Amino acid sequence: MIDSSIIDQIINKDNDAFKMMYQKCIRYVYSLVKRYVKNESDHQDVIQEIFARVFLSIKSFDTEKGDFKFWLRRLAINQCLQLYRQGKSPKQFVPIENANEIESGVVHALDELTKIDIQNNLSKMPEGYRQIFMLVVIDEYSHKEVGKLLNITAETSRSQLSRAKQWLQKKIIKIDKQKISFHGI
Amino acid sequence: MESNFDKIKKVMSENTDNQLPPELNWDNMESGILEKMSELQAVQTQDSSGKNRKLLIFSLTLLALILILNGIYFGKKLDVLAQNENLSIEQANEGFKIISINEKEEQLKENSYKNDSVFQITPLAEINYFGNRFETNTHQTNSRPFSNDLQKKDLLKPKANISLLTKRKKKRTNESSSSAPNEKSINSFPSFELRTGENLSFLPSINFSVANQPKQDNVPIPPLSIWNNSTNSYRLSLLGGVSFWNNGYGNTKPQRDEFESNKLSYHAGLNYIHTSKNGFSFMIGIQYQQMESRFDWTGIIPDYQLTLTDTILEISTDAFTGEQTEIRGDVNLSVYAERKIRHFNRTRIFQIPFAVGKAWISKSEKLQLDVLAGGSFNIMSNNAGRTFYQGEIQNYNSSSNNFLSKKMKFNTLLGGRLTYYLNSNLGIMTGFQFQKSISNWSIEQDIKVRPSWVNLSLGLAYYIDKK
Repeated sequence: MIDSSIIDQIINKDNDAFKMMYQKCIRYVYSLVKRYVKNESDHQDVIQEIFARVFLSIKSFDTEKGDFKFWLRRLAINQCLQLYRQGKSPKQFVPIENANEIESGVVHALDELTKIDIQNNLSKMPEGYRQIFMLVVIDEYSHKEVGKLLNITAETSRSQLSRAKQWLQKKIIKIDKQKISFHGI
Repeated sequence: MESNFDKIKKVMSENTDNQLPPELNWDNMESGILEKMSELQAVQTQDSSGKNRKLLIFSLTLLALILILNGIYFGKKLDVLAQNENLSIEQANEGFKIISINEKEEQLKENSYKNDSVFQITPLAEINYFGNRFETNTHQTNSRPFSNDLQKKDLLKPKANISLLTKRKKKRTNESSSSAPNEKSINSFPSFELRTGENLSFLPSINFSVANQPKQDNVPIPPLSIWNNSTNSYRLSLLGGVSFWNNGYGNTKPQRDEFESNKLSYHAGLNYIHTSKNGFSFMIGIQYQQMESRFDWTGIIPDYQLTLTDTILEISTDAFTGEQTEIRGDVNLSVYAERKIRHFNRTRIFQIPFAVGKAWISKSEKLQLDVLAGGSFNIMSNNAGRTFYQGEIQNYNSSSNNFLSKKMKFNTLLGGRLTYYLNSNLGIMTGFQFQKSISNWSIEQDIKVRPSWVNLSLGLAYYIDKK
């Protein structure tokens, strides 16, 4: 994503390197922010915060030890969750009673679902579920790491993920049924 | 289903083909990023000063503890000196009554000017001072005679101001056995040698004045080892007992409080109390608090999904042989369920309590009442348990909870204790203590969690020194 010479230039406070890095990384950062921050009006502010932190802490990044993309992703996600921790983004943990709504039946594969279907469903997912789903399933965080990031226990993270999956499963079944009935006509 | 999630993962993680909104162009973002950088740098500076403040508090606490330990050590040392002194005074007391010891030379002078006519000094009561008891100037003043009568008078206390003897060890430093007035050859009239000089301002502040009296066998000797309101004292108290507490959830009710009931809790502590001669006390110590609560949650799940695995689904019978065959499989059942959860929560706190107060002692010198007010720091705390919070049952512990702050907390403290003395050093004690947190335990905005608790204690009090 970014080679070490650009990083060295940024450490030496080269403004052109700053700009170059921004332009190379902004799409990736934007896609992350869109996933974690629902409110579009917060996107610009969060992205500014992320890049400010990148520029300030890039000295701590060791090019030999890790991948810049991975480091940037961690930093960006952490910053997105900061909104949640500051209480700007309300927690929406779903009560246990509402979570146990598994519909029995065969679950169809997602093969027929489009990318837009997936994005729409994830955007509709309750905030508490969505964050944990994104962190664990998409960004491969462990439950222990999620616990630390969201100030919850690993058990809570596991149970929330399970419910998130159940929630998604239910939505997929609905879509699947709609498609079946459509094809049936 | 996992494969479905893999597809989602693939779709979402590779989803970087977004059209960038124009406000995210570098030209529009540059100034904002620079502004954020300067804000962050300012915050980092504040954080480092906060760390320094914590270090300062820790250092002061450590210093206070060192001073206390130092005080205890020297208190014991002085106690040894006091025992020697008691012995010498009792021996000396056979033939005459010690009337007064006064600390302040100036006060003596003042009194003597007013009451010159009431001195009762017999020729036999040769007034001497033991030079080696003084901290300074002994070589200058040693064995010098009084230069005139006025100086003699200045060092003597008039009868009108005579009070019963008590001792002041504080001004004495190194009383050696050779210098003590305990030689038997003195018989009934021990001699006090007064070492003084022309320059009275150099004199130490201890002065004896004596009056000659015929020997009385039944002269009461004041019980010097018993604390009274005109002596300094140093006490150690070991206490423990039960605690009643209120979790202070405040406006998080009824979300949490509805499911949690506070249980009888415990505490234990070790205090050091210094009581000055006018009865004012200073207390500092360490204390352990253990708060307990029970979490009871009952939830109705109308369509709980139960999966029965390897269940007999069907039994088929062969029409010819009559042999029965079981067909097994998994069955999903939707059942009405009631889920009950009970969990015992625990909050453990290590505190440094400190307080000032007042002490009173009964006439019999058996009972002592202390009243104290101050505060306490929670230097270490550990919360572990389960709660229903924001519509979710959550487990929490010291390393992971999303509602309790980990910062150091401060509490106000009010207390009282009543001590019954079994002997001059050891007493049994009952105590009462109320603490209320000033710090907010919650990390969430607009939510205040300020627990309070009442401790009822039993313990032992030990006087390490009185003077």
